Parts: sequence; structure tokens; C-alpha cells
Amino acid sequence: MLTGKSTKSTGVAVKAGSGNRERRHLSLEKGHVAYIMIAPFIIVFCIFSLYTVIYTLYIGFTNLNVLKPTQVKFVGLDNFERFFKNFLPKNLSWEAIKESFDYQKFSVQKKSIVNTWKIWLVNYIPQLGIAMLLSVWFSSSFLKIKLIGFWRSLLYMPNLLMPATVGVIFFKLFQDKMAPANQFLVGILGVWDEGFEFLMNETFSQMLISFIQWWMWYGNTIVILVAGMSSISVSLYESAMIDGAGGVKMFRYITLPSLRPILVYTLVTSLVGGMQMFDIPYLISAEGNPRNSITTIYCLMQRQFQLANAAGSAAAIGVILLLMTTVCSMLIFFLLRDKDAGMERKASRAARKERALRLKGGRA
Amino acid sequence: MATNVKLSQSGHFRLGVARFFIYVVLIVLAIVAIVPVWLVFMNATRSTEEIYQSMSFLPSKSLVSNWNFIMSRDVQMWTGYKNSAIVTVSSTVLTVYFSMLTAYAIEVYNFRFKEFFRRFIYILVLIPQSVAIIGFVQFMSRLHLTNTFWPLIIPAIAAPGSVFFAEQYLKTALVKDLILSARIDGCGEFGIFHRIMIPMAKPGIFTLAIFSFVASWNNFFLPSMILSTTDKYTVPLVVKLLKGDRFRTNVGAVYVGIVMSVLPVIVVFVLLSKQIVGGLTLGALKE
Repeated sequence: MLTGKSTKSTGVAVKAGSGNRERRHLSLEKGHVAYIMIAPFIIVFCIFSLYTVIYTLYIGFTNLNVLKPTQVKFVGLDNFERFFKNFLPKNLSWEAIKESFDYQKFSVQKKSIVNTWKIWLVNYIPQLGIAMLLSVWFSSSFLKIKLIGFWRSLLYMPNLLMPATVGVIFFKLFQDKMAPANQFLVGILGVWDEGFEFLMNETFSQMLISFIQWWMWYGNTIVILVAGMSSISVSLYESAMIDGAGGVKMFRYITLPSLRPILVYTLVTSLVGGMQMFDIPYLISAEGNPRNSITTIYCLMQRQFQLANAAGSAAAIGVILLLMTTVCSMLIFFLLRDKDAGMERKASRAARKERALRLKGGRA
Repeated sequence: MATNVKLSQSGHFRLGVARFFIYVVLIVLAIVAIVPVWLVFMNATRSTEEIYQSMSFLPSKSLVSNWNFIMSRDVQMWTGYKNSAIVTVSSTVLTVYFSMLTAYAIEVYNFRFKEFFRRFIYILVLIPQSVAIIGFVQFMSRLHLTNTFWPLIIPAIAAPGSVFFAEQYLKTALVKDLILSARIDGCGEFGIFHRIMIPMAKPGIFTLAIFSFVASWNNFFLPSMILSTTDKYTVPLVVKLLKGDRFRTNVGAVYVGIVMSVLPVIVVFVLLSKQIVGGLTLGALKE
């Protein structure tokens, strides 16, 4: 049994309450202005990203040749079939299976995928390990390392250098028998009598590119991990220490779990970047020498497009790469993200909703 | 307190050994970080004969002749600088302005697709859109825009990574009450963005600008697909020319060219390293 007066006052109260909530959620009215503000992004995105992705997909199903644009024909899955040809053993005999694992007999396409993953993994695992170790050292209140800012900046510096230039620098350092690397190993250390042709060796070339990627990126990972570690509450470590936990245990049970979102972030960004590796292998050898051992997926795409003018098969490679990277990064993201935190968030949201409902109901 | 009590004399000794070991590792890593770049700088000052004879960590006297050699060739280092400057400055301005604007809209206003749009941006960060390069180049050539700077500049308006960063940053940096009071004072919505938000978000804008600048300055793949004549080449493409065989006779000059390509970034880094390294984590990891 409500009187008119009390209804009026509750109406005001509800309004004021919702206004407060709006402010807490950092949102203001006048939403129509937002559409004008995001319009440039949306328009440019649709034209230059969305449309080009769809257009690339379309080209991937045609035999478009850049030099003969009028003779374009729809060829269905031909480009994709050609890419994946000889990926699997021809039959189930032991010989065929063994052959399908023999790197030397891989097609360029298969090599490019294997190379890209191999070069990325060989760079990422030590990158994360070393960055983790150094970050623990830097953020330890126990060790008190001096000049942390200086070390961090110095190790981060290669990350800003132009990848094209870095490629040329390392190419020059290992180019031939008279290159600085050989001068050092032969002339100063006397390891060999004669220079070694580094860039003629398949394994060395791959490892060199992994090394360069590591060299350019571990400083970046350190900066990110240190920031993540510094946001972990010190009291957690203190209480663990009182309970008698050692350094390793504290790392395992406090540092690692707290760093999880940041580790997922570095993993995903590194994967997305690593799958698009191009500048450095291309500038060390545009042909992927020796014997396509440093041909990455991007290098292959570029070669199909600019040397063979085969836009169709190049676009197909782009689509394959897009699908592979997206599936992998989404998988990592959903498998490794913090499930507990997600549940908690969901639960608290539900609780908030319920409380709001109860409040409203109670007042009315 | 507890730690001080715990440390016995042997504990101090062990800590000392650990510290020593750590400094050795740090010094080795620092040498690894510097040596390749240092060798290149030194070789830029040495003659071709010296370079082929032995390596050296000390400078020599041929810098001027190497410089003259590379300037006399048609390498067009200065043209490269000019082209890179045009592309980099305009795309950085566009990226910073429109990313901030988009992020501001998501952060501040209530609109129907707000949450959808926010999630959409997050997902875009995870998807490498540059793999659509073939469609992009074909599209540009149909518009007769290949070998111009437009395809390198205009797409900078829609940079999901930058919007993501800007949004994370604005979440913590924005003072809502200022916006409200500005509105009460009769300031227009865009006026609030320009006169209140931009001055307020200066550190974030600086970081965003630095990273878009470096990314655009260092970009090799897209320009190499779009630009076809040497008078349009940006610095990374000029660097690729340096690798060519016609410089086999004067290697020192090649090193001068390499130095010229990295020098601007190194100078900026030495001057602003604190802000750059700090800015790296300004927005990306607030969650």
C-alpha cells in the first residue's frame, strides 16, 4: 500500500542510484557521439582490413596472375590442394611414412611450415627461460642487483633496431670466409685453420635466425615480466617465507600462478609475430638458401607473389597462415587463461545482479 | 627484519657468490647485445682492406671516404630518409589521434555495441591481419595507388593494437568528473576530447607515438610490396639495396649506410630509454 508521495521519492532515489552506478562504471550518456568517434576506425577497418581479407580469400580460390589479370578463373580448392600436396605419406607403408618425415625430401611448402615453427620455438623457449630468470633476479628484494634500469634498457635496445638492418648486420658478420665471425674464430681464437662458410650450412642458418630473434626479443619479454612481477603483492612472499618456503617453492607457487595472464600474453604475441617472420630470413637470403632451410611461410608467400606473379597461390598461403595462427592463438588463449578468475568474475557479476534486483524489489 | 636475522655468515657468503655470478651473466649478455652493433659502427670507419684483413673493436680513419663514397652513389640515403619521414610522421599522427579517439569513445560513452566493439578489438589483436597482404596489394593496384605512400598511411587510422593500448591506458588515466564538469560548462563532446582528454593523457600519447613511430619506421614488408621505384624507397628498402653486389668493392660504405639506418632510433633510445621502457608496460598489462 504505497501513497503517491512515497512512490515519487523512490523514483528519485532509483534515478540517483543508477546515476551513481553509471559514474562508477565510467560511462556517460550522449552515446550518439561515440558512433561519430568510432566511425573513422570502422570505415577504414572495413575498407582496408575486412575487405582485403575477404578479397584475399576470393583470390585464393582463383588462378589470378598479376601479369594476366583478365584471364582470371575460379579454380576452387586447387591452390590449397597444391600447397598441401605431399604433406602426408602416400600410403601407410613403413617406407612412405619414413619418407614423409625426411626433411630433405619435403616440398618447399612443407619445409616453410616446419622452418617457421622450428625457428620460432628454438627462439621462444630460451627467450622465455632466460627472461624469466633475469626477471626473477631483477625483482628479487633479496639480491638487490644494482643499476636494474640500465641493464634492462641495454638488453631491450636490440628490439628497437630496424629488423631489415639487423638482418643485414648479421649477414655481414657471417657472410663468407673473411667475415668478422670467421676473423674472430680463425684469427683470434684459432678454432679452425680456415674460415667456415656459415651461411652454406642449413642448421647453422636456421639457428642463426633463431638467435637473432632471441637477441631482438628477450629484452622485451624481460621488461614485461618484471612489470608483472612487481605487481605481485610482497606480503604473499613474506608470509610464504615465514612458513619456511624456499626460493624455488615461492617461484612455483606464487610467481608462476600470478604471472599466468602475462605469460599467455607474451606467448600469444610472440606466436603471432613469429608466424609472420619475414624481414630477417629474407635479408639473410632472399632465396631461402641453403636449400630453402630458412624459407618461412611469409617468404614463400612473397616469392609466389613477386617472383612468380601467382597471386592466387600466394593468397592461399596467406589464408592458410591466417587460419593456422588464429586457431593456435585462440587455443592458447582459451586453454591457458585463468579459469578460476573467469569463474569468479562470472559469480560476482551474478551476485551483483541479484543484489541489484533485491534492492529494487525491496524498495518498491 | 626476518631476512636479516636469518642470514648467517655463510648466508652472506652465498649471497655474495650469487651476486657475482649474476653480474657475470649480465655483463656477458650486455656484450652480446652491444657487440654486433658496435662492430658495425667501427667498420663504418674502416677501409675495405682493413675490414677484409681483420676485425677490430677500435675505430679507424676512413669514415669520411666511406661517407663520400656512399653519398656519391645512387643509394639515395637522403631520399630514403625523406620518404620514411613522410610515411612515418603521418601514419604516427593518424594512429595516435584515431586510436585515442576510438578508445575514448569506448571508455566514456554508453552505446549499444560498446561491449561487442570492445571484445571485437581484443580479438583483432590476436589475428594477424597483415596476412591479407595479397588482397591489399591487388586492391591498391586496382585503385592505382601502388608506388604511392597512401597505402602505407591511411590504414594507420584503424590500428587495433594501438586502440587496445589506448583503452587500457585510459581506463586508469581518465578523470570522469573533469569530463562531467566540462560538459556542465558547455564544452562540446569533441571539445572535451581535444581540450581535456588529450592534455590529461599525455604520457600515454607519448608512449603510443614512440611505438607507432618505431613500428612504422622499421616496417619492411608492406613498403617492399607497395613501392617499386627507388625514388619512393623508404629507409629499410634502401638498406636492402646496400646488401647488393655492387658494393662489394667498398664494404666500409655499406657499413656507413647501415649505421645511418639505425642511428636515429639509437639516438632516440639513448635520450628517452627510461620513458620507452617504462611505457612498454604502461597500458598493455593493466588487466
